[in-house]
This record gives sequence, structure tokens and C-alpha cells, in this order.
Amino acid sequence: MLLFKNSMRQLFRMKGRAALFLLLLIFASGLCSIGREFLVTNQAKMEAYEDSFMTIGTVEQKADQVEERRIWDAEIKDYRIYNSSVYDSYVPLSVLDFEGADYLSGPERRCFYGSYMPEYEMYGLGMSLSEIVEGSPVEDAVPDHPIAFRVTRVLAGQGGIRDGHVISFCDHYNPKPEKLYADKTYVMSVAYRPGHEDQQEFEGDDVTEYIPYTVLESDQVDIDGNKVPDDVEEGHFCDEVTEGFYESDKGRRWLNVIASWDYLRHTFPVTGTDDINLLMPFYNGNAYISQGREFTAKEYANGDRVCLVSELFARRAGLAIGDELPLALQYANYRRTAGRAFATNSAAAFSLINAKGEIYPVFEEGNYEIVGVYGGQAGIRDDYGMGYNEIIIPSRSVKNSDADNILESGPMVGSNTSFRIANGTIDEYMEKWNKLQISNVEITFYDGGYSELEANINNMKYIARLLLVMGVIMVLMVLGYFSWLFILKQKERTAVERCLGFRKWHSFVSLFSGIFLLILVGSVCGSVAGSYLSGEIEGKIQREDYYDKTFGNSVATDMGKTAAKSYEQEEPLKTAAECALAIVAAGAVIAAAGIYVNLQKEPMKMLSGRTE
Amino acid sequence: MEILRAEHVSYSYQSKYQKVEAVKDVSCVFEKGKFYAIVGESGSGKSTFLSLLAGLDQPSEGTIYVEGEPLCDMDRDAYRLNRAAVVYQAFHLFPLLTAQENVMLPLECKKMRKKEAARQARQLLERVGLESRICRQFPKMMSGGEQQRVAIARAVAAGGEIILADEPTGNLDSGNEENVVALLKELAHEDGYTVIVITHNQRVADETDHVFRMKDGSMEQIR
Ligand SMILES: Nc1ncnc2c1ncn2[C@@H]1O[C@H](COP(=O)(O)OP(=O)(O)O)[C@@H](O)[C@H]1O
Ligand SMILES: [Mg+2]
Repeated sequence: MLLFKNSMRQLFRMKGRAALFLLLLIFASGLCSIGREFLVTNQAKMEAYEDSFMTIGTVEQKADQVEERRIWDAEIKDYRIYNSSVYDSYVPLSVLDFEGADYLSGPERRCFYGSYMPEYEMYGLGMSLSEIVEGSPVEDAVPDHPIAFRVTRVLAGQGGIRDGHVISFCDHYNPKPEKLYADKTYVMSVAYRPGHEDQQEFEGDDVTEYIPYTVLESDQVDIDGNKVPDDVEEGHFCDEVTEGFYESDKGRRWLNVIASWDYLRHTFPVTGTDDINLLMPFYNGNAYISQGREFTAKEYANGDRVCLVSELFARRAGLAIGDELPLALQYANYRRTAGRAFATNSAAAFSLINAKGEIYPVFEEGNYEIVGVYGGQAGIRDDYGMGYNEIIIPSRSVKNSDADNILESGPMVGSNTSFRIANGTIDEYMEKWNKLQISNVEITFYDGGYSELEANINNMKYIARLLLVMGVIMVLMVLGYFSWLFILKQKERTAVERCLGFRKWHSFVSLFSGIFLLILVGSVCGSVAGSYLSGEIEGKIQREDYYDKTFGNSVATDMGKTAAKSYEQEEPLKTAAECALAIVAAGAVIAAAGIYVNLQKEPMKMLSGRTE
Repeated sequence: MEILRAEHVSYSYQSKYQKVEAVKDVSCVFEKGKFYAIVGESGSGKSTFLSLLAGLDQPSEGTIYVEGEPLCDMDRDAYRLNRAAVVYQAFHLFPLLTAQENVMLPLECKKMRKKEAARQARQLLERVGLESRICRQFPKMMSGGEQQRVAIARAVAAGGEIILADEPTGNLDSGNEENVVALLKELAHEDGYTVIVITHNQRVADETDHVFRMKDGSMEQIR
């Protein structure tokens, strides 16, 4: 105690230098602390972001050319020109399997399946089915303009036409329609089309113009988009009904079409995936798990029969987590997504007739346990949206081939092909990809602003490192200079103390304790101040990037921020303490070393000098 | 009565390139209450010998006895704290402590209570002929003579029996020199201290009871 008091007393007599030392040390420790704090918080942020951000790439094959399609319009008595994209061939998914491509999930090329579930009703789907009717024109006519057609029997439809109605009929898009005879009975599929301006002249039960709607021909294709040959010619919509017609192949096909109308009303879109985050709605937060859970890695890998259903469907069908859905996959669609095809305002009424003229047989069947329910927007007719009542399953749970049940096929596009790579590896990936020089496939990345944030954080980390290095250098310099000033320059004091009978450790304590206290005070003050300051600065920067930038993946961004914040709150002053500790330790070592040097000097050799 | 005795004491400085034999086979006896001088040319080994007497280092050969007990077997820190003190030509006061604090330090080190230490320090300073205002002054504000007297007061406070002074008057004018020598003499003759001064000042040597001369590390008694 005496030694300590003595030590302090002598230190305070060097007020100016001690104060300067204290100030410099506070400043230097502050720098260290700010640097360290920045480094730590940014590291924590980075880690938090790492977990909450995802980098998704989507893949799109560009059309090889755009082709003009000419379609006859009976109203203007001319062809209308439409542009359509033409693909020489579909680029296979395997192009993405190249040397050095490192995927966290995917790449996957998704289709959606139609699952026929007669016990569940597809309420509210905006699907308009055509009407299949039997009847005859009121008089012989070529339907190249609206003609009167008397419906004798409605075989299938939505109730728009009733038996006995006379409708306006026009083979609108056919430049050379065949003549229809009043004394023959025809079976045909018609759909209404708002349009033909000369409707007013027509007098009948329904002033809406009906046009042919081809349902007899199968749309079946193979995976490459080649049509599976079918003996019904293109555009065929109408057959003459003669005695025993419905027993003929053609007639049976008509009956199958009629039967398929019921299938359409009970068909639910099912999408298989390896990672629901590869589905854009889940990625961007438009869809989210609201009850239950996502699939586990094991379920994905094994292809377990588990599924996610929408809140709306679960509620309407009275389904809960743990219930099973009997999925019966009938067809696969490789062109449109469920989000595009199943909407409440408009839904595609696919032809469910295969090239053999039969309703597609179920190729995969099984009970799927509902493990989660998702909420969010669905059924808004968006390629990148969720389909109405869409059901999600692990893609591997579909074990059987859908090759004979493909209803539509198409190229890889952003909405059906995607993969996930590690955050921050986009450039690396693209560098390797570009080497392949595949010009007709385009990759678009979504990272929720991760790259930008990463760049910001890396900048911050760089600055933090700079501050830290500067701080450390400064601390060492300050400690070095002052141990020279306070210790080495006072070797005489040590010698005199020794001469007066101080033991070595007395002399040690005599010098060390005061300096140690100064170092302690300086480094603690500096570190705490630095930590506090860095918090302030961090706060400012964070507010700025909160307001300045809108990140695509805003949910993730907020998560990252919360994580970084909670880290700060969980560990208040932890870094400051570490920092102070390190500096105190360094100071103690330097001071001790200095004093050790002093003690090594034999007092007799130092003091006996003749003059100062 | 004998207090210090050197028997065949030698000491050499061992530097990297050479070995300097600073003290060679010195034997002598110092008695209690006597005032001694060691004279000799500079470099003859006086300071080295004095340091050995102070226990700051061990002789390379030979033994120093303190009241018959070999110094090398004693706790030499305690020996300096309690029995022997050194005064240097360059004073070597603690520049950041006042005169009183300088004197108090060894006292407090001997576990004396602060008040008592302060009282004794003031007494000692008075004893060496310093005015009480000096007590609060820092060494650099004092004259050389005053500083040396503080140093002597500190040595008295530190050493109980032996005062070893290495050219204590080397930096002083003749007036102060006289005072300091008178003080040392008084300490020897009146207070029973054994005082050994190194000097090459004949006037100082004349004041002492016995004189030793050192030459090239060897010592002979000349008076
Ligand atoms: N620290 C030292 N290292 C090496 N040689 C020394 C040291 N101190 C003194 N000497 C040498 O020892 C000899 C005696 O020195 P010293 O005892 O200081 O003599 P004096 O006090 O009589 O002038 C001298 O030759 C001197 O050069
Ligand atoms: Mg000397």
C-alpha cells in the first residue's frame, strides 16, 4: 500500500506527462475499441445476414427467333399477326452442371402436376370451360360470320347455353370454314367470345358470339415439346352425329372430353421442389409458412410423401396439419407455372385427353401428409406467384415417370428453373459460367441485397481493421514511449531504491503499480468510450441504410438487422472489456519488461558515477 | 569495536572483451563510531569497494564480515535497509519527492507509521542543519549542499549503523563541504555511526580518524 501510494505520488508529480499519457492512451484504446467493435458487430451482422439471406439464381433460355403467326379474324376478314417465340430446341437443365458450380440446392427445373382429387372441390378458380353441345344450324350456312345455330342438347358446360337455345356461331379464326347443314346434327365444343361487331343484326336467345373451341385434339407432347401424334386433325371441333356415333372411336373421344370436365373441376396444381426457397414466392416472402413447418432435409432427400397446402384450401377443405391428402398426379406441365395457370380471375382449362384419346391415366398416386400450411398471396395469375390452391411436395416424392403425361412443355424460364448458391459467390459463379459461353441461356440472380450489404459490410470491416491496426500501433507506441519515460528513464530511481534496501519486488511494485493504474484507467475509459461511440456511429449508419435502400428480400434484411442488434444487446461492452483487457495486458507486459530491464542494472554500477 | 571487516576481498568487472580487476585482495577493519576516509586516484577501485561494503554486490573472492557475520550469508536488502546506507556524490534523491518525503521513504519502508515517519524525517532534516522550509521542497529547487544533506539525512534514516559516502563533497563548494564533513564527523563521534567516506580531497581526509589509500585495486592504511 505504501509502495502504491508512493508510486502514485511520484506519478502525480509528473502531472503533465501522466495526463498526456492518459489522454493518448484513452484515444488509442478508443481507436482500438471502435475498430474491434466495428469488426465484431459487422462480423456478427454478416453472420446473421448469412443465415437470413439467400442467393437464388434463375435461368432463362432465350428464344432462338421470333416468328410471326398469322391467325384469321373473321370480323376483319383478314389475318391478324402475332409474334411468338420459337426455340430450336430446349436447352436441358444439365448445362448448369459444370465444373466448379457449387449449389446449395438445385438447380431444378420445375413443372407442376395436375392432381385429380374428386373429394375436394376447386372453388373459385377462374376457369371457363367450353360448352359441348349437339345441334344444327337454323339454315345451311358457312360459319365465316355469325350464323344462327339451334342447340338441341347440351352435353357439358357451365350452363351458359340450355337445350333449345339458338346461339350465334362463327368459326372466327378459320379462314376457310366448312359449310354446316340444317338437316344434320353436329356435336361441337364452343366458347363465347365477346366481340363481333355485327352482333346486333343477330336475333337469338344468346347474343354472345360463340366460336369453336377445340377440345378433341390432344395437346400431349414429349419433354422436348414434340407433339405426340394424334389422329385428330388440328382445329377439329365438330363432328356429325350419326346413329351409333358415340360407340365409334371419335364418339368415345367426345365422351372422354365430356367426362374430363369433371376432372378439371377437381384438379389441383402440385409443384415439386428440392427447396421451397427456390420458389420465388417463398423466396421473396409473398408466401410463407404460417402453420406447421417446411420440409426437412431428410424429407427432401428421401422424397417423403409430405406436402404444404395453402391456408385457404386448408380452411375450406377442413384440413389440418397431420391430415393426409390423396394426391393422384395425372399430368405434368412444363411450360406454365401453377401461378400462371391457376388463377382466380383466369385459369387454363387444359385438355386432359392424351394422344390416345383417353383421359390421362394417373401416373403417381399416394397419400401425402400435410406438414405445413402456407399463407400469402396466391392465384393472381403471375408466373412467379403461387397458384390457386397450389400444393407443394418434395420433388423426389414423385417416383414414376411423367414422360407419357406431359401436357405442355417449354424452355427453362425464370419462373420454373432456379438454384441456390452460397451468399456472396455470384461473381465467382458467373465467371465460371461465362467461360462456358452459352449464349442463349441467361442467369438472373436474386440475393435480397446481400451483395450490396456485403460490400458495405466489407467496407466497414476494412475501416474497422484500419482503425484497429492504427489503434494497436498507437497503443504500442504510447505504451512504449511512456514506459521509456516512466520506467527506463527512471532507472536511477530503481537503483536508489535498491540501494536504500528496497527488495527487487518492492522496486517493481513501486514503479509498476502507478503505471498499471494509469494504463488500467486509460484503457478502460478509452475502450468504453470507443464502444459507446462505435454504437452511435453504427446506429447512424444503420438508420441510413434502412432508409436509403429497399432490398428485394426485405424480410431477410430486417432479420439480419435484428440479429446484429440483438448481438449488441446481448453482449454489452463485451468487446470493450476484451479490448481493455488486451491493452492492460500489453501495458503490463511492456511495463514489467521495462522494470525488469531497470532491475537488471546493478545499482552500484549506476550510482557511483562521478557527476550527473 | 569492530563492525566491518574485509578479508582478502577482490572484485573484477567482467565485460565482454576484458576483465577489470577493480579490487585486489583488500583486507581491512572498520570500527564502530569511527570516521574513515578512503583516498586514491580515480579508477583505483574506491567506489567498487564501497559498493561491496554496502552489499550491492558480492566480492569475487574473499569475505566481508558485519560484526563477525559474513555479509554474503545475510539478507543484503535488509542489511541496507536497516544497517548500512550509501550517500553519493550525485546525491541521487528522488526528484519527484520532497525533501521530507525522501527521508520518510526508508522509514516508512521499515513499517514506521506515517506520522511518526514524518516527525522523524523533520527531526533528521533539522539534525543535518536544514531549515524546516526545505522539508516541502523538491530536490531540484535546492542547492547542492542542501541536497547532499537531505541525502545524508535519508542515509541516516535508512542505515542504522553504517554510512558509506562516495565523494559526498565532490559537487559542493568549500563552505558546504565543511558543513557536510562536520555533519558526518558528528554522526560518527556523537551518534556512534561508522562513517566511511571516499574522497580525494585532503581537507576531508584530514578530518577523519583513519585514512586508507587505494591504488590499482589494492589498499593500504596510511593513518
Ligand atoms: N561497471 C563497470 N564495468 C566495468 N568496469 C568498471 C565498472 N565500474 C568501474 N569499472 C572499472 O573498475 C575500476 C575501478 O573503478 P571505480 O571503483 O569506480 O574507481 P574509483 O571510484 O576509485 O574511481 C576502474 O578501472 C573502472 O574503469
Ligand atoms: Mg568512484
